[in-house]
Amino acid sequence: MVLLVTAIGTLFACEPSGSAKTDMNQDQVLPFDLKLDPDADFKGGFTIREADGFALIGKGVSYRDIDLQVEALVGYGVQKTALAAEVIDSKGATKFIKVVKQLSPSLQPFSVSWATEAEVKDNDAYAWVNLAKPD
Amino acid sequence: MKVPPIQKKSASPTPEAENANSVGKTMTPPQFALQNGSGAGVAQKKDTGVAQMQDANGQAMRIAQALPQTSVVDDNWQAWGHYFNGGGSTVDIGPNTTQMLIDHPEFQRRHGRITGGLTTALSGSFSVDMTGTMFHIGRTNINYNVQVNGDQCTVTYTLFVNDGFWDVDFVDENTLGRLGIGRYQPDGMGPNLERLGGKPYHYNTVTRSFNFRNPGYNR
Repeated sequence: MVLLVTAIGTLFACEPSGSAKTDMNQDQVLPFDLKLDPDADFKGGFTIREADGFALIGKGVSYRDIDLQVEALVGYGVQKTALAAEVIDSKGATKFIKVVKQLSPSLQPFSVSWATEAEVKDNDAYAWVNLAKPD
Repeated sequence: MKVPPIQKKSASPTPEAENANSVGKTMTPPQFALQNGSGAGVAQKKDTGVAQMQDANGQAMRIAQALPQTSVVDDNWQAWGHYFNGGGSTVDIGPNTTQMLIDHPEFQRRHGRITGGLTTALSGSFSVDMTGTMFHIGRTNINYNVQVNGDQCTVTYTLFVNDGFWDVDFVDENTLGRLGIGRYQPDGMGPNLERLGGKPYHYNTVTRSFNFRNPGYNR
């Protein structure tokens, strides 16, 4: 029986059993081929990832551009040329950041900078999405 | 039958990875041996542990301790065996599987980005799909953290993060689950999609570090 299940599993290799860990919310449309994935710890958090899977905004992410360690992503805003996010940092403070694609990504594909709530969340230029806070 | 020693291979063919060092959290190869019989093919640490204490005269005493044993899973058979016989206890992932992950093209591609300075984040995560090479691992999560020290950097990977063997009924998951029926949705260690009396279990994480020349990280 175990052999049968294992064999079937190999046949289904293109549909990994763990795929559902990252399959939610695929209808979200983000710029720059970014995607929103549920966190793997089943605690309800989300991470915005680059097209190749690198975490861009989410739990545990820190940046080379600004001194920020993200504890949780709680909202994001989208416009054509930028992505903004509301995050909780490692000290429990709410912060806002803006992400833009580098025109010539010689070292990094995106640059990250600080923003204010007024610049992004209260700005009608961004379509804002609030996420449930993780457990 | 001894588990082969872990191979200390560089994670990148680039010269800067030649001084890569491995910092295994749990893997000291001589401690592991495959167990026959009731262990369902699962390898377990044989080291029961020895503690040093001093008596009233200051004489050192060696006291054998019965340290809790941690099963080691290094292939799909062992994974299924532990699912049915392990009682849900957490396992260590064996050295062969760990090396398969590090050698995986998806891992190597991300490692190349990190060591080439082509990442936006100094710490973060990604995942690697090992379904085709090690089914029970499936898509597994890797955290990374780059430490900058002048012209040298160290990237530390934590492998198998928040991962384990669970939700084994992938057929129902990919049919009824995709229709949105709640009890066929993956839930990690929860009751959904567990079958035949097996118990889901976590993997312990494994840590590996690699040094590389600073490609331009400035923090």
